[in-house]
Amino acid sequence: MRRIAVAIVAACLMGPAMVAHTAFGHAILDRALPAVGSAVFGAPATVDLMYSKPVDPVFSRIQVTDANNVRVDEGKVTIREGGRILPVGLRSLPPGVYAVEWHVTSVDSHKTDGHFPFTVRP
Amino acid sequence: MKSHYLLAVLAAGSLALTQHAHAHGFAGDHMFVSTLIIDDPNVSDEASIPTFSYLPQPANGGAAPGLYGLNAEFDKRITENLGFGINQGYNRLTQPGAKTAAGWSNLAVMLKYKAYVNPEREFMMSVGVQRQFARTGANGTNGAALENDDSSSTTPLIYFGKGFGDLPIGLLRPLALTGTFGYTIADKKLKADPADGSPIGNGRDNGFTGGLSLQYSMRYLSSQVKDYGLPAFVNRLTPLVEVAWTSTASKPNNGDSTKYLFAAGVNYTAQGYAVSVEALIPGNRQTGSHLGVVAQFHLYFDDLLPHSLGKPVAEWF
Repeated sequence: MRRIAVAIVAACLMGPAMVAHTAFGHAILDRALPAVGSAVFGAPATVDLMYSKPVDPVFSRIQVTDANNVRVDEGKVTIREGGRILPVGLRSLPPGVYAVEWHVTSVDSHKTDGHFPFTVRP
Repeated sequence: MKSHYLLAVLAAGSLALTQHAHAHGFAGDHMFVSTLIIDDPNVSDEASIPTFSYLPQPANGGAAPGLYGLNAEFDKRITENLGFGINQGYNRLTQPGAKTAAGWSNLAVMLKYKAYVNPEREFMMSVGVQRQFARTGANGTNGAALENDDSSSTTPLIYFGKGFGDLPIGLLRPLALTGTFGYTIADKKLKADPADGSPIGNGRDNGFTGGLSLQYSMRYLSSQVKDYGLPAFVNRLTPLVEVAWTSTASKPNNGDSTKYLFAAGVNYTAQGYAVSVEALIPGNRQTGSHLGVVAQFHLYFDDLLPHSLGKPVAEWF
């Protein structure tokens, strides 16, 4: 039974290696600049969202709003790094709390979305 | 039905009482991960290959028998919200001073419908029905030792999942609660002995089954609340605790009281697969007194094969 258990554990460990390079799937937000929930000094020029998988810019959108729910982004979503990074330009931001709302579609049509805040300090 | 091992076998997934359709269950921003001793509310294209478990059984005064389980499950969507699952496993029961019993569990199939999703409230609800087929696994002496039912049964089930993203306290927002509740109806009931009313025959009693899981999504924390700059590996973890319970609901029965089994561990969800490991913790004497372990390797076909096995059957044509 011990040999069988070892074989099962080995299979579990090898499994991820076998599927990791073949997966498509959901684009999960790995990192953001400004970071999720962070406070930054000085107004950032862009919000950069970094995803686990490439996304399709045509079916993806990012919206940044201030505390009065007024949009402060420049609207146009572009891509970098083959679609894994989505930067969106920002207008000149005064100090305050801002909300980022994103909806993306990965290159194989999986949709994911989310939202997070960041703060601009003087 | 003798049911000393019921929850342990449930933990192994070999009866498939509650194991179906895991993960990639998004309700709004929240994703409910695959749980190991209860079923999650989602309907999806996935497989658990394998789920391995080990749990020492109630000892009744002597050395504890050890139950090993190796289980496989396949879940498939028919439409976007309707899916089915198939579950079977192989069990091995080592009994000190007695012959080891080994054999297949009874085959179980499930139909589940995701009836309601509220993305804003991160809430999901599903209903399902499970059918377990008697005598499709080991029977005779082995089947009796492994607690394989001699009576088929049907279990209507309800499921829910609720993310706590609407809470005002940021660090609590990655929490989620999932749960299931069902009523098992035996095809062939136990009969009462006219002399003393004790149960006789090879049927089983009706029973309640249910469970809860509490999850804390590090992915939700880092991508929705606050990024603490933790390594990507940590941000893909979901620590979780689960509890499963069963109790009899009809007479005559074997006098078994309600049984509880807890599990605590962690889920790692990556692109296309997940790995989970949890400690099994008996909740009362009916489920033993020693810790066990359950581990699972889980495949997401909607990620791995998005244009074939990973999409609903209705969209194949």
